[in-house]
Amino acid sequence: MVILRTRGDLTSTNAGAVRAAIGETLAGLDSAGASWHAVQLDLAAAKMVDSVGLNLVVGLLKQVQQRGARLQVTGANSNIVRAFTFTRLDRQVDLVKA
Amino acid sequence: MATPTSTTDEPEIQRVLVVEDDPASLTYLTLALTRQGYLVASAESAAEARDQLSPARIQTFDCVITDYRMPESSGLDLLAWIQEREPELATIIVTAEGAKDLVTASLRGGAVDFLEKPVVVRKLQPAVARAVEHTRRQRRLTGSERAIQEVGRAQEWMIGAEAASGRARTRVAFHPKHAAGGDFFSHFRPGPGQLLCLLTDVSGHDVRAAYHSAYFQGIVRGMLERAAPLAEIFATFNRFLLEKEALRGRHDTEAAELPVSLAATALLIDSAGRVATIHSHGAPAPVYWRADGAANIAGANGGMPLGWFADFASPGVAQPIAEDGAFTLWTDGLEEVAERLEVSALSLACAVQQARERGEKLPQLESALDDVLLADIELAPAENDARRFRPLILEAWHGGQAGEIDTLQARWERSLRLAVPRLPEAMLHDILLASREAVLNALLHGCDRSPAAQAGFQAAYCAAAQTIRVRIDDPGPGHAFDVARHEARAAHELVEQHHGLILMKHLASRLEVARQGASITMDFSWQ
Repeated sequence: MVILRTRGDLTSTNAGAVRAAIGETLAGLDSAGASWHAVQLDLAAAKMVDSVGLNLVVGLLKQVQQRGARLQVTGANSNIVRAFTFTRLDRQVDLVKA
Repeated sequence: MATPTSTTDEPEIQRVLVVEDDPASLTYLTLALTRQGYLVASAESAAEARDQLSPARIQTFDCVITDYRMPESSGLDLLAWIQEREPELATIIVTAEGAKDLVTASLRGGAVDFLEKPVVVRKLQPAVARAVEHTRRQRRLTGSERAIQEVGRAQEWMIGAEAASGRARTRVAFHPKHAAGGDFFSHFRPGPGQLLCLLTDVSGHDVRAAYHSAYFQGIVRGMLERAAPLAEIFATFNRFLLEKEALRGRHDTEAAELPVSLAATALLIDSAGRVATIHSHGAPAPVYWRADGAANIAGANGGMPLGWFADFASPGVAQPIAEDGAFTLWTDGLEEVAERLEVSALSLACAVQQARERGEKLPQLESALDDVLLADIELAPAENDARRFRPLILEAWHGGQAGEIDTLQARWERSLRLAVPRLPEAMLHDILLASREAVLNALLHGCDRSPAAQAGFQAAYCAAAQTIRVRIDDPGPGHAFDVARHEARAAHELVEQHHGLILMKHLASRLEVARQGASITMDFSWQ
């Protein structure tokens, strides 16, 4: 399993950098020939995920699903879980509450 | 200026009380001091000294010299007793024991000097002279301090904390930096159905500034009684300050004295005409707000204060008013504190008024660098009290500022925490997230990222309803969007757009959309 941890909130301000870092990590694993079947996105350090952060999660989920792998989101606080629920993302990803 | 001199040739009497249980020492000290011209009273014990230092007589003494070691009650006990009643009265401790800890205890207890036995005249005379001077200086200072405090009390009384004038109600919070200050507020009734509120801020925050401010308020009152228009009153006082400054420049060589300038805001409310006219000079412009929380800046910020330039005009700006309208005015002392706390001035104003209603001073004002004066003028409070939303944030951002959203959000958070300290954390999160989404949408789409276009952000608070109301407006055309259909699609499809609108809909207790989303109002209510 590939574990990805955010350093803080996942918002419009840093989503681009986080997306690039995730892309580099997964590409690095591929070029090293490592096989992975699941990605864990750890949001324990985040207090807030905004709509751009949610878009990032959707993009990551699509990427992971294309590989036949699964995405698990962990460490989300109750406010972030509500954001996933409002946007129905809780039905698409494996959301493990903090 | 010549130094004042006494008109009498009689020498000034300096009274000393000597307290000593040893008769020989008492006689020696009494004689020595009498020969030096002092009027000496004597006491053989601390109890006898306390009798002599009765409330009616204690201020007639200029110095007390007391032996340390006496039966029943020591010199240090007497010192403590004096300090409690007349701390300005200098006390000298005399003892045969030159112990260092006793010296320390004496000085810490408030003694001004310390003499060892046997006391020699060459040491006694200068010690008593210093003590007498100390007492007189301290009494002068205390007298000045009392006078300043009296000015401050008079100022607070004249400003008043809460007053009704016709149907309008004013609520004023005044926190001078010192006992008296240069900020002033008053209201007048220049004509039927009219209310004039005048807020002034003289440069400086001392008794001199308080005097100038009160003087201007007096001139306004006098000229209003002659039915002079506000523009003329301001122009007259501007000319007056410049003329005084020109005269002072010719005659006064005290370069350290800064020229006097006066920032002022006059708010003339005409209830019948449903309009207010604002004259603002060098002061923050007032904020006009309605019971539903909608707010706007009335008039223009800044401008020249009075006393700077001869080229002066005071045209006044008209603000239409409604029955449920209110104004909030403040001096720049409040803005300085808000900037330092990195919060909105309106949220600080709300917190200051809440503290005033509790009979307290907001702790954040303790370190204010200037006087702080804040006034709310509610036009018809009784009808609107329960449902009134008080503005907390009133900001405008241009389309090029989307990248600053984290800074804006952090400022909103500090402002809301200050004004609504009991706001639940989850509710704060929801307000911040929904506001962030709405403001980003306004800047990126409504303003099309253009620095030439501005979006407005307002937050207001209704304490009775436990509700924060947020409004976001942008100049764009908005766009048609069916949130319900989008939500249904998101339930079984991975969609990467419009999550912001869905979040706003669910986070807010109430969402009102106008102009196809270019104007959004959200209520956040909690129990």
